[in-house]
Amino acid sequence: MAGESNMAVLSARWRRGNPRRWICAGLLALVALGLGATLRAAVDQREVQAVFLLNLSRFIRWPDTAFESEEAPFVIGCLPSDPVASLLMEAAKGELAGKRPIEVREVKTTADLDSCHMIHLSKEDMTQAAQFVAQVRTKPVLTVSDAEAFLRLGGHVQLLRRAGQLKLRIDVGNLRRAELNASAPLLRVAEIAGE
Amino acid sequence: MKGAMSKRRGIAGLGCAMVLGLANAAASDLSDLKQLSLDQLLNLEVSTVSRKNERWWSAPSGIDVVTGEEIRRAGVQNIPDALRLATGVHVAQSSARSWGVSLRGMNVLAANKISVVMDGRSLFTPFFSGVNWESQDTLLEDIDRIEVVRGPVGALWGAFAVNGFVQILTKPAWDTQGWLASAATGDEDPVSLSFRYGGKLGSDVYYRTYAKYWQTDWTYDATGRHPQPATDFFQTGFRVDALRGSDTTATLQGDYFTNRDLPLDRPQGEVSGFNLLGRWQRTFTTDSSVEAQAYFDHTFRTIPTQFEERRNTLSGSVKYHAVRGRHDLLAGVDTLVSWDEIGNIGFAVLEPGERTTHTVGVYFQDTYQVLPDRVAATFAIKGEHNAFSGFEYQPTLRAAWTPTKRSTVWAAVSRAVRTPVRVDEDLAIRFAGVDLFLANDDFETEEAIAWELGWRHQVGSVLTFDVSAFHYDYDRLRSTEPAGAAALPTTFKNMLNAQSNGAEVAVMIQPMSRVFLKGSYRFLDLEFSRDPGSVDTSGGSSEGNDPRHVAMIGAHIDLPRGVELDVFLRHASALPNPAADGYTTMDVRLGWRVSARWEIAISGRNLLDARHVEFVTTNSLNEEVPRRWLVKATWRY
Repeated sequence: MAGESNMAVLSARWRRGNPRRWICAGLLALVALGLGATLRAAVDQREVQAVFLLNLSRFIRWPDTAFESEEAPFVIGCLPSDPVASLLMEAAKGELAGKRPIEVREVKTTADLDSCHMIHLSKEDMTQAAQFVAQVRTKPVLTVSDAEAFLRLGGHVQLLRRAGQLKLRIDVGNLRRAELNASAPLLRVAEIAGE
Repeated sequence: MKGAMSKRRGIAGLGCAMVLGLANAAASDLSDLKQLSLDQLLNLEVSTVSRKNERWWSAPSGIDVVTGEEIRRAGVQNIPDALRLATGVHVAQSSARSWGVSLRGMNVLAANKISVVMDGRSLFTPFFSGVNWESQDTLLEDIDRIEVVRGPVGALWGAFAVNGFVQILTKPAWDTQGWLASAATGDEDPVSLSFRYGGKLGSDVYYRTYAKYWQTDWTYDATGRHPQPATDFFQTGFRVDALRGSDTTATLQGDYFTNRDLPLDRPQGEVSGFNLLGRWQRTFTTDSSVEAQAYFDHTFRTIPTQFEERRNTLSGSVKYHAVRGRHDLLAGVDTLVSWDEIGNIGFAVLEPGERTTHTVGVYFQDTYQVLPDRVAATFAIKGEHNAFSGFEYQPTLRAAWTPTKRSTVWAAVSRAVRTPVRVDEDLAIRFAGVDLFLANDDFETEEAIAWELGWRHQVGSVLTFDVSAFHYDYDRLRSTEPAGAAALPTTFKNMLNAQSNGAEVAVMIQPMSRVFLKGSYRFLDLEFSRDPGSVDTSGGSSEGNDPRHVAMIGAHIDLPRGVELDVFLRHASALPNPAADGYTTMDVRLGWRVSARWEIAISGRNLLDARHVEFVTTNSLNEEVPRRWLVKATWRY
């Protein structure tokens, strides 16, 4: 095959000491160096996101009016297609937000949002995310997403991946409009927007 | 706790660490993670390999998705180069402004076995059946993703989606708010400028507008000279997305492009055009929605010394989606009317010079959960009426088995068609009063029956692979035959057949959070044959010239201080007919995110050769593609 002969030409060039081989070798060395420098094992981002959502329920204060009663559960809503949903359900088992049990529910229409205290919207569902955020903008419903434009849409918390780690940005202006209060430890680890 | 915390400690020894890393990542546990503080969670190294194709994980077909981020990291400057990133796509550049793009073979400049759509608008011309890639552009930073489906999708997308389907989707306007400006220069691309601004009109109406201008040197002939001077291109456009009520989204978007009356006013073929598209979507619940869309598209193109094509296309479609118990239903209607004016400026002519053609299609798809979350069967069919060959039907039957969340096995059998277009029926060649080639109103539809099998699997949070195999039987392919008893004149008939066997493999590995590797490979064995009585001696050379092997390995590495290194090795084996050598080459990008607003990148393409030939066909320019370097600065605010 001519493809193989092409490979043969390539390897012949290597043997002849073509300067390109040094470029290739240099690049490979760079790659190896890069690998060495960044070597750390990784955890599935969805799992970290799911646990992070649970934590948010403890570092943000909702107005009392957001709950029907003292015993009412803390409700997190997800779209059925959300890749984090099933992990979140698993992680939320037996967990509390203050004294309230945490419940994860599927939301299918904007009417389902009224019973939620937090909604997670995956960037794959951007159209729905925009719609949902527009719907709850002035209600005490915390909106969290990994979509890039989420805060500009009026969302509260954006999770983003930077240099292999999960980071968060919080729009304090949008939070204020929804009568939600973020605690100091949360704001300390976040990038702040919307001041 | 132990498992998660140990991940953060440095480990000596590359191999040892790799093994430990893989084991740790696979064993990560939600209950461990729940013990960590906010700080600790935000310091974990996270992997995204499992997210890559989540949406498509249980789909009963071969699919690859190229994200906007992957396009940025590849440092590409045009859509065909971006398509190289998708598994199974064979992209072959023939000149500075022409490419052959196909899946599963049958690649020529006018590759007619794939269908290509951008934001719901067909990029296909019914003139020669294919995509004028030279006139298809957008701001690459606005592309959300490119979905590439391998295999027949005619049951939804209609004729031409025989071997595959490419859908380019741009971001909604709310996802591109603020400023973006970029400038690039390189040894083969002197100037490349783009600009975008996104803002709000009222509380729930978002818009963006963009413009881009670039110049590129022409490709090289075998003697190392540019056969044509440098060329330039300008495109501008907008998109408005409005949220209405709690469940309705409306979109209006348009583009204008030209390569005329620009700083380099060159004498070569002109391309220009504009389009305007409106879409309305209503989501009743996440289980039921309706979408209506309409667009108008105008294109003008000159093929020097041969044709001028002036074309207007008007299209409208409605789509309804609903889940009823175990049934996931999709139904729709689409119509397309295209009227053209062909300027016959050579001795090959299209008769009649003006023609209006239509396509009207109705489709229905039912995905039935035989065993919920385990086994699903899909039946879909599209009936379509077109101006050339009348009624066509395209059914598909698919099944998917999802034994665990980490694994999907699927199989499918489909019938797909390539219906006739203008050149098939209306092309005639007359020279000095003698008929050499006659038009043929009886040109028939080309047909294919495809059998497919696939397996997707995820190993831990580190590795996923996707394997698909296929067998195609093509019937009634286009051949050139004598029109009557004498050798001349000739005409197009349907006396070629073909059989293909092949496979595609994609592997994605994220051994650690800052390193992402993707390898893809396509094998194809395609044989043309003739009906009894055929005298076509082309051996199928005008229908496809395909390498047996197409392979690529890409490595994306995030280095400290916002430095990004991306390395790609690409290989395509020899072309059979007309023969051309295969090639292996390398692309490299070194980027630096200086700050949240600034990004600088140096990229080199085709680095292993000064020049190489990628494509040779009977009717293309067959020029050589050079090594090229580019420096690009991008500013976002």
